Parts: sequence; structure tokens; C-alpha cells
Amino acid sequence: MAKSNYCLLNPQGGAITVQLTVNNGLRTGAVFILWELQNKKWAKKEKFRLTTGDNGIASFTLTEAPANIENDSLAWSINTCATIPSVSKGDFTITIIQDGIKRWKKKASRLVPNCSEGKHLTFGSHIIFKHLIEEQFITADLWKDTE
Amino acid sequence: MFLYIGLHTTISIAQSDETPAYRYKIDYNIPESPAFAVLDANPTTVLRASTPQEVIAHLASDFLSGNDISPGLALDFNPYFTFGGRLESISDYRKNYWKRVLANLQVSAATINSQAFPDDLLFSGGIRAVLFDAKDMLYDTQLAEDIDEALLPSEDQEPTPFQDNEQGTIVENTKLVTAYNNAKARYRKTAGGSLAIGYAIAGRAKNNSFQTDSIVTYRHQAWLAGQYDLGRSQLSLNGMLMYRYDQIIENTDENGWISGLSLRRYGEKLILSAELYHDSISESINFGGYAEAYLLPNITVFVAIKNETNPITGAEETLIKPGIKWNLSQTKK
Repeated sequence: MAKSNYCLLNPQGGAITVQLTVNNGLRTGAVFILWELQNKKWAKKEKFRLTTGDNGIASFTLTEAPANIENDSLAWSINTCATIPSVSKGDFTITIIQDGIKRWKKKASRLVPNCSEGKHLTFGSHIIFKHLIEEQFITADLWKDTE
Repeated sequence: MFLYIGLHTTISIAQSDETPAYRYKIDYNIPESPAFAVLDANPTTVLRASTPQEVIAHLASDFLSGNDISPGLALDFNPYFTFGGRLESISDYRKNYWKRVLANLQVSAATINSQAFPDDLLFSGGIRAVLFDAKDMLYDTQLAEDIDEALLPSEDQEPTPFQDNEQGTIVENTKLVTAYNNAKARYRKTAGGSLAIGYAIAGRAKNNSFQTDSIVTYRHQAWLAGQYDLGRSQLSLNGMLMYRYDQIIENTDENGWISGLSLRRYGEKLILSAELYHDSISESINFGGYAEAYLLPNITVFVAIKNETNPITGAEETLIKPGIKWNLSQTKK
């Protein structure tokens, strides 16, 4: 099984926004799927399709509340190619934002084919959502429980 | 026989099929290499002004000629992206004039052996900037929309819960092919102009030696080229004004202007071109004709006929340069 990345969220916080940015004039089409484990089987909860277009940026907001997505997987598949003839690589950044706070960010640089070659690069990954632990235990109190 | 072999795209993986990648480019409007121009290695004299359509670090060429030019090598690249330059987006490219100039900058280096100097190695360097191009494909919003549509993942490309394809794979995309074929048809039938400037310098390594006292500069040239495509007729009018400083024979400096016009017709499979230019150094009016046919996806055959004055002997010569242009474009990883 693939190694997972984890994104810590505030279960009581606001909605989760996912942002995809690319540079160097690359064009990108992507699909993001939120998966949930139900009765030992993974089921689709939400699906979003994105194109970063002329500005190189696109985002969507999950409709599912953060309280309900612990242990869910957000997986993506990205197709991309370069339109500027002299460009052969670019940077891709995926950012998970909650209440204006960047909860998770990943930047990757990739070599890409030129769109005019009739080819694109396809790549993808996933993250698992986890809830932030809010309670702050005082060590002394924990020792008291053992006495 | 003049054989021209173009090797493209140095960052590559082995091509697993016979995909004719190069045919999808607007390959008939690729501007000439500045470094070849200063060595008179191009089959035509009047230079084009269009935006480069080539990929970065793209060219290693081999010239075999029955005329003045023998085996050689050239490398053209874009310095901005090669040395780490970045662009925010296509919008950034469209709005920011200077970034657009940098993105289309073409730096060129070449070396050849010439029968004019059989014991020496000729080498050159050049730079070319596009000041304006009304037909720049990055302004084609229809193409942008078609590419976006082509890149949207299909149902069978949906990621699994533990999706893990971090490095990625290169895949064929027939929708991109269609998008570019349509763009190419639009491009051919669109009217518009372009303007470019360039500078190149050529040197001679006497007896093929690169010791300091063996290297001499023998030519400088700077030029302004303009081009206007008439649109539906697929005709293109090109004009060029070039200042050339020559020191081909030692201690005899010559300088002057080369000015010329050319008319090109861009067909889907055939390019026809005629040019007329005045060379004030040799005080001659020269003409040339050029035809280029796309026989196979990666192979083009061309023939150039030139009537020009030999810079060494001063004699008027008619040169026929048939050749093959073979573009080996490989898939980038």
C-alpha cells in the first residue's frame, strides 16, 4: 500500500478549501475525489474537476463538514502539459486551507511534455484527513489518575 | 547534397512508438537559427520574424554540403527558462511585455567547417528577440479552451483512495492532437504581422586551434526582420534589413547593408518561397528560391536555389542546395 500523507484539521473549524496552482504557463486538468471507508469498502463522497486555465490557479470547497471527514482520503489525478514552446517544466502546489490557515501544502516540480506533441503528463497522490487533538492534558493530572 | 538533421529535446525518454510528435507544431514558421545565419548556413537569406515554436535546448544539427558548408553543429535555446526563469501563468505572459520577450528569446551557438576556410573551424553565436507577434499562438483562446478540455481526466482516470503516481507518466492524448491540428489550420488562415531583431558574431579558429592567438573574429551582423501573413491566401511577406561587418580576408574590413524581401506560401505539405536581396558589400542584387515538402511526419525535403556573389572570389555563383530536414523529437519525461 502506498505511503500516506496526513492533513490535520480542526473538526470545529470552517469548510475545507483545496487549491491547485501551476506556473510557467502550464495548462492543467485535474480530478479530486473524497473517499470514505464504509463497511470496509471505500466509497466516493465528493468529486471535483478543476482546470487551472490562463491564471494557473483553481480551487474548490468540500461540502462535507470537517467533523465528518476524519480518516477520509482526498485523492487526485492531474493531467498537464506546457504551451510555451521553450518551457519543459513547472511547479505544482496543492494547498489545503481551513479558516485562512494553510493546513497542508505540497509543492512539486515536474518535467512536462509540450502540449503540441500530443502528449501530457499524468500524476497523482492522496492525503488522509485527521482531526487535531484539542484537549491539552496536564502531565500532573495524568499522574494523579494513576495514583 | 545538403543534409540537415535536427535533433530536438534533450531531456527525454525513449520513444516507445512511432508517434510523429513534430508534425503537431506550427513547424513551417520556425525562425532561422541566428548562429547559422551569420555563417550563411541557412538555405534562405531573408530571415523570418515569427515567434520561435521550438522547444528549449532544442537543436543539434549536422550539415553535409556539396557547396560551401560542411559538417557542423548548432544548439539553440531559451536562456530565460534554461537558467531558472519562471513565469506565473499564461495571463502573465500575455500582460507582461518583457516576460514575453524573455520567454521567446533565442540564443544560438553553432560551429561548422567551411570549404572557404578548409583548415579552420568556424563558430558563431547569436541572439534573437521577438518584439511583436500578432499571431502568437498563446493568444489563441480557442486553442487554450481545447487544451483544457483535452486535459480533463476521463472517468477511467479517477484516482483511487490510495492514489500513488507521484512521479507521473507521459501519455498520448488524441484530443491535444486535434486541438493543435485545428489551431494550425486557423493559424495558416489568420492575417497578422511580427517583428524581430537579432545579433550574431562569427569567429574562426585557425587550423582548428582554440589557442588565443589562433582565434579571430571575422563577422558581426545585426538585423531587423518583419513579417506579415496575409491570411486566407496563406501568403507571407517578409522584409529584412541587416548590417554586416566582415573581416573575411585579414586586414581588409568591409561593412554594409543586406536588405531583402521574400514572399512565402505556406501550404499544409509544401512551402514555396522566393527572395530578392541587395548586398551593399558585394554591390550585388541576389535572388533565391526555396521549396520544402513534408513527405513523412518527421522528414522534410527541401531545395534552395541561390544566385549570389562569392565573398572570397567575388564571382557570381548559382548554388543549388537540395537537402533533407529530419526532425527527431522525443518525448520529454
